[in-house]
Amino acid sequence: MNTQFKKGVLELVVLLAISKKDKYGYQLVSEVGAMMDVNEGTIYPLLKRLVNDGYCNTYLEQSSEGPARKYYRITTSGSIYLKIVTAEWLEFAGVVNRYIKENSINEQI
Amino acid sequence: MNRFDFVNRLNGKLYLLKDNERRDIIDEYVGHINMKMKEGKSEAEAIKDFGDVDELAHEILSAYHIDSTKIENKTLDIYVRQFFDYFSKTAEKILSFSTAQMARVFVEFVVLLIILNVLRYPVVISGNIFAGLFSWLPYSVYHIIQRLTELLANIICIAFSLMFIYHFINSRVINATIVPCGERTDSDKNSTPDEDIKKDTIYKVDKVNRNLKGKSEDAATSIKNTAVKTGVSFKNSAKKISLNIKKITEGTGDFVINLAVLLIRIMIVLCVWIPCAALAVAAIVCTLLAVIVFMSTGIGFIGICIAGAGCCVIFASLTLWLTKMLAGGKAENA
Repeated sequence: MNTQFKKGVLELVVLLAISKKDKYGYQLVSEVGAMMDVNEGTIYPLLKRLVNDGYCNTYLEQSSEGPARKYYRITTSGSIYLKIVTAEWLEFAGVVNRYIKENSINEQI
Repeated sequence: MNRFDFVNRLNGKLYLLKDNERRDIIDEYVGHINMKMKEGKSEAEAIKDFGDVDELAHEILSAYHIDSTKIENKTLDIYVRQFFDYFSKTAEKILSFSTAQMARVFVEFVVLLIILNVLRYPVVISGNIFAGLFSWLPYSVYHIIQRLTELLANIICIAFSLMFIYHFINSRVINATIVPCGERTDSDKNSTPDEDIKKDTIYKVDKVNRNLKGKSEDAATSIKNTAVKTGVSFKNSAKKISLNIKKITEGTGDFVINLAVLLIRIMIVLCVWIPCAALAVAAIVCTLLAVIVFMSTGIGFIGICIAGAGCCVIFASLTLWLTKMLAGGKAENA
């Protein structure tokens, strides 16, 4: 898949992934990685950016195996931002889909 | 690429970030590598999944709204930093080697130097032959060509030598596995590479301390035992006094034993390391002499080369023998 597509939508996917439940880095990377083929390394910087922009925050929690894990939790502004981005994406995807459909129909005729 | 390289390279690229931020993000990556390895992937595979380090660093920096393409003029800083990182890493690694390993690497290094010196001559000779092709030209022009080819040959030789030495350090020092002196604790396994080196040195210092402590404790307990025995012989009435004596002897015993161990250590350094170091210096001087003599006259190179190699062999065997002796002594003590 086009990497530019992925880059644009990754933020939305990551925010969505932590909106339901708090997750730690590796869990999040595995989940997103299973859904779309994405370079694992790029998710951590994205998380960092989301934290820096105030869309999510972090807390440490002890785990039964190994060192403490850093969990990511969505903030209120993060939830609002996610809603806006989701709406934008749906609208954008709808427009593009419609455009593709129209043009491919014209071609077929 | 192993995690050492990965962390070092990333560290170098992220020099603009604050220390704690940088550590934070690198910890995340190291944690990720650990998790991947727990799932059965190899370290190299886990790192490969992160993609290109440069791109990764660019992504991370852009998360802080830093455009890494605009700071390219500071690459010199990064190189200087990496250069020093590399040297400190090498030094730390060498210090963490066991004596035998250190001796082996040293001998290998000397042999490498000799080989490089020998390999120099085909390049220089072919340079001379090339210059000879222009001998029909006026002398001044020919002279300039001769000098230029000489310079070129030297540059090629130095470049190749540096390359070989770099590879040598990489393969023999940085990627070498340290022969452990004993069992390591489980917590050590979870540490990050940077901590690994620190822990290793701490571990060694700790071990020496423990050795010292163990010896002094042994002596102290033996003194204690005799004190107790004498105390018992004085029967119950003398028990309290003997306990007091015990306490005092413990203190002085500790001090005396510590002093003795220190003296023995100084003796070992004087009797073992100084001759070894002298031999090593002799070996290096011989090699250097071989180079200088051959460069100026071309006479006696092979002879001196052999002498240098002989010195190396003597040095290596002596060091190995002594380390074996010392190791054997230590084992008996333990």
